[in-house]
Amino acid sequence: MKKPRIYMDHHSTTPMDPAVLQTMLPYFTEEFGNAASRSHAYGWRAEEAVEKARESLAGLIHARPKELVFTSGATESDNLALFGAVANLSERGRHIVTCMTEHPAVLDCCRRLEKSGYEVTYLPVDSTGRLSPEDVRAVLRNDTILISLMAANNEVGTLHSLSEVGKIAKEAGVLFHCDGSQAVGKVPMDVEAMGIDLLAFTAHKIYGPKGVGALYVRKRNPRVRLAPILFGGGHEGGMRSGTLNVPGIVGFGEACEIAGRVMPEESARLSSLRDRLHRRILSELKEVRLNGHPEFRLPHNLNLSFAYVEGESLMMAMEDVAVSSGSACTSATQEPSHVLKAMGVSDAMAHTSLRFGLGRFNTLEEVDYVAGRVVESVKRLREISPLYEMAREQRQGAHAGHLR
Amino acid sequence: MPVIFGELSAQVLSRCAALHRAGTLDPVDPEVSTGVAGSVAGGEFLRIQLRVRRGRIQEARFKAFGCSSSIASASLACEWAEGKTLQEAESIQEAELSAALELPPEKRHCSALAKAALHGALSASQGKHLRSG
Ligand SMILES: Cc1ncc(COP(=O)(O)O)c(C=O)c1O
Repeated sequence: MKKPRIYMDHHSTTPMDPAVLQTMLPYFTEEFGNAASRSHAYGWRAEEAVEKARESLAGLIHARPKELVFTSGATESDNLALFGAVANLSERGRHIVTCMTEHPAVLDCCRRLEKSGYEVTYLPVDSTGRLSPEDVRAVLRNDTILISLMAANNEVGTLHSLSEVGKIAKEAGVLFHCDGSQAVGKVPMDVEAMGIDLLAFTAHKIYGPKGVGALYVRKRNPRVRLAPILFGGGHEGGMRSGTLNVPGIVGFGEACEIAGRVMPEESARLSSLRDRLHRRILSELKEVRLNGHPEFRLPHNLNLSFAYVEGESLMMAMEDVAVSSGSACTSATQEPSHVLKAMGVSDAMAHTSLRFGLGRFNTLEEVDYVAGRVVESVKRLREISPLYEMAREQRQGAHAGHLR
Repeated sequence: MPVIFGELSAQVLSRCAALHRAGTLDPVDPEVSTGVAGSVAGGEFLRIQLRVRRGRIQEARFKAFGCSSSIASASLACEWAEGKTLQEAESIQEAELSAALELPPEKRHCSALAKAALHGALSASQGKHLRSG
């Protein structure tokens, strides 16, 4: 298959920033030490690099360095947060509150916990993908031990009101875990102001390397105690055994430094490019619908449904552009995106959705090119769509009826 | 996000680029019969139309809402059907379509759908023939 020329799928992953790569390189070769080696300078220097990175992570989310645990990615961080937190609280209760539009890294943990006797409430969202904080308050019980809510949705980019949920959690004395994978480094995140007790995030979504993530674990008000899910050498304060991925962690630290520095300028630039893409598409195509919140949305996210055109065929029609679709044609029983379903989008419209995720290295020229490709491909596929033809005939019939 | 498995074969890609036999035949024309298969909610809906004269398929056209494998399957089914008698066209198999398009197992339902739409059109045509004969 032809290699796509333009990458616009930055919710899936991001290319590494070349500056990040440069900081990592020495830690594969000369500085290869084990950060846990206490007996020589190789180890000390590796440890120093890890601690420097920990400070960079902490700075980005307004935490203290000691509150960060390095992991292999957000999936592991979510697993550690959920399984680790509930294990120490099962005497207090067995009820967990989460949301229907969470990532599988949270949902599948919840389903697993349900099998071992926990009860999970999956809260609904409105048509923009937002959960109402009052719904959280309404379902809290005496035996509720944990709320898990993502900061930003990975499909439609909708941002939840974290501060309000954090406040409700504090008032009720319930721990608040947040999957920040899509938000950290993209929009301001502040674990203090937002009342977050556990925060999962990952390097590869912010122009860092794959396979390295972190979990913020609050140490004060309250001190959160986690039971480990990996056992071994007792690294990371016993919360995550295993020799640290020093080059990855160094890259993660640098990625956080850069993200913190460029965030205001970058989010303004990307949201203006994103809006331009949206405008150009709307100016040439009818019956295109925005999935997500018009305002409370990640600056680089654009999720659109193109009526009458199935998403996979649309992606393939513009195969030099890399995007994602909420449709999936993999078996006779097809289930489109659970996120769009939770937002009340019909299966038919969910099958026509495309997700654009703009990123640091996308240019204005690329945005205009992509807009052109989308318009041309949708028009072409609508011409062969039986649904488009039926809708057109219905409109004409209605029109003719009106004239008579 | 749902995952889309497998790479597409060159056959599927070139058919989706060319869209051979895409189009509409006038349903009011007594020689034209229509078959549909799939569901919109399921993400795939195919229509195949045939123009049949004296038991032979003169023209076959499709319209498709669906993934590229189903578009390619409908296009190929139409191409194969043209020039055949109703009986000959009836013997076009799902397995032949998917083999020609090199569809992976998880895409076999796309060629099955094309076959179903074709068969729908064939029986509609036979029905017309019986009624008029
Ligand atoms: C919201 C969300 N949570 C978790 C993950 C998993 O992250 P990782 O790939 O680092 O395990 C992702 C990435 O796809 C995500 O978007």
